[in-house]
Amino acid sequence: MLCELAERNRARFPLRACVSGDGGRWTYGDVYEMATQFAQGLSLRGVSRVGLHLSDSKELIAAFIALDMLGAQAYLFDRERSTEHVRALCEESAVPLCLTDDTSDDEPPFVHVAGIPSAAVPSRPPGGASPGQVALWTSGTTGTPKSAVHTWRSLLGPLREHERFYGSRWMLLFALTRFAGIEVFLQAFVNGGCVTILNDRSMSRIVEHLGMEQITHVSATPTFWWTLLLETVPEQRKGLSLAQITLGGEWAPQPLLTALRQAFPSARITHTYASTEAGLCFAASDGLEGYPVEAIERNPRGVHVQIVDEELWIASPHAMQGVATDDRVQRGWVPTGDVVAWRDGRLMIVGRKTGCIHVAGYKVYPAEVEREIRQVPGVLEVWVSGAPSSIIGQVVQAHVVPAPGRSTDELRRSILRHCATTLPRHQVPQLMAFVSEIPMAASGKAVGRHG
Amino acid sequence: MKTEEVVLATLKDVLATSGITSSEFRRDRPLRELGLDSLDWGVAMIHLERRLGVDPFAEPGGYVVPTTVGELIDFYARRLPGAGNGR
Repeated sequence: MLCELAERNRARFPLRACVSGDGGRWTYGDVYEMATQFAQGLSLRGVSRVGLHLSDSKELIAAFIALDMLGAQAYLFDRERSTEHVRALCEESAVPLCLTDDTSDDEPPFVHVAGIPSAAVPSRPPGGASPGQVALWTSGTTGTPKSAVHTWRSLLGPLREHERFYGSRWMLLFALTRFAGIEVFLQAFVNGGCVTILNDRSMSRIVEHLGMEQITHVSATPTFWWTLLLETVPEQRKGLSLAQITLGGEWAPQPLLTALRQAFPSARITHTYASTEAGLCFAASDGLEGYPVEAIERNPRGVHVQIVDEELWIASPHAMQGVATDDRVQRGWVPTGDVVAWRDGRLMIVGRKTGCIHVAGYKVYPAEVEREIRQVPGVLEVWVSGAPSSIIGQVVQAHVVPAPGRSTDELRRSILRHCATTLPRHQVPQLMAFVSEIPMAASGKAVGRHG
Repeated sequence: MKTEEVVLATLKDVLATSGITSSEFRRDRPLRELGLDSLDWGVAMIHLERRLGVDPFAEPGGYVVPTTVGELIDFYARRLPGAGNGR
């Protein structure tokens, strides 16, 4: 499916820019040619499952197309993952070959992307017999990476060709190896748009490029949009050409939607609800938080909704295949882990069911943070939970029971120092309180902790 | 004036926990120059709300995003009980 799209685009507008970044600009013709070379090179090896561990966006995109040409299953690995980790995941999933641009490891399954030979016979490789599958990695509900298998069909399913995308210039701010990044890229690709992907993602560089390239379409997290509003002034924003502002990956709160409307009066502003497992579920562009019941009932994407014990479950034709991430999946229904409520005819996401904390769109598992804090001498007991933040969704809050006689100021510094060296930044507790005991529910579990 | 000092002191404390110890808090300084990223801002807003008892996002008219140090201070100062400016 993707390769037919690529061929169609190459035939229609071979010289139109497809991908642009810090290193240059590549046309639909360039990308298709690179994909063909990859496909020919890979077909000589006869593999049906190929891992991708690449930092160069055009190579990644060409590889997507190439693997679809071959009908091979693509396994997408974040470039930040070590080769050791990727090797382990490849072994687990029986992936015999992984394209990488990491030069530190050339043992199987790794093959350096520069080592794919261009074929002596410049013929078009045979199309794939089965719809190309794409395995993405998601943390699921317990923190260890699990694969979510989509097909190009399920990924392309909810997307549309529409005249409002004609001539669109996109900036991609999500990773191409993740669901959100692929969806945004495909939305642009389906409509023959150009996608800019920057290596340097500082806000000043992003704003500079939005202006220089007159970017029209941007999809990013609410956290990103808040930060952009805080760090730009009206004069800068006047120089931008944003026609479509999309929010995804986190709950989009009303104050932000209102502030964006005021800052970008001529843009269309859409907030979305999607997950790697369930796919794209709902979208609203009326400037009001939540999703209107009429849109959900009209069901434009074929998505069905159930609420069980306040948790939202989704059945969707565009969901991932298989039940990799949650044992509770039944007969096509995927639990989202989101606690929802109806308010004034709109579906609102009011919290997380599983105790997983969402900080600026990143998942944080309380158990992992608690484990690190327990290692600090002077900590008797600790409970980690999420505290609400209007800007970034939640922050990590730790309640600590100190050993008798310990100075809490000094213990706070020790805990933060330890966490800073062992945990990613967003997982280091942003709030910390010292208590004499952890509140316990009658069941014996700490209040608010699930499972 | 006193209210402003309370807000400024809170802001300085909060920024210090994110490693910002600059003494340059003149009113017209753009917030983006302070060097905070979105995570820092999320934390800073929580601390400001907890210390000052003001939730800027509960505004019925929507939250107007401040862009300078002065605007941020004024936002909280106007809404503190006893600020004398009326709500």
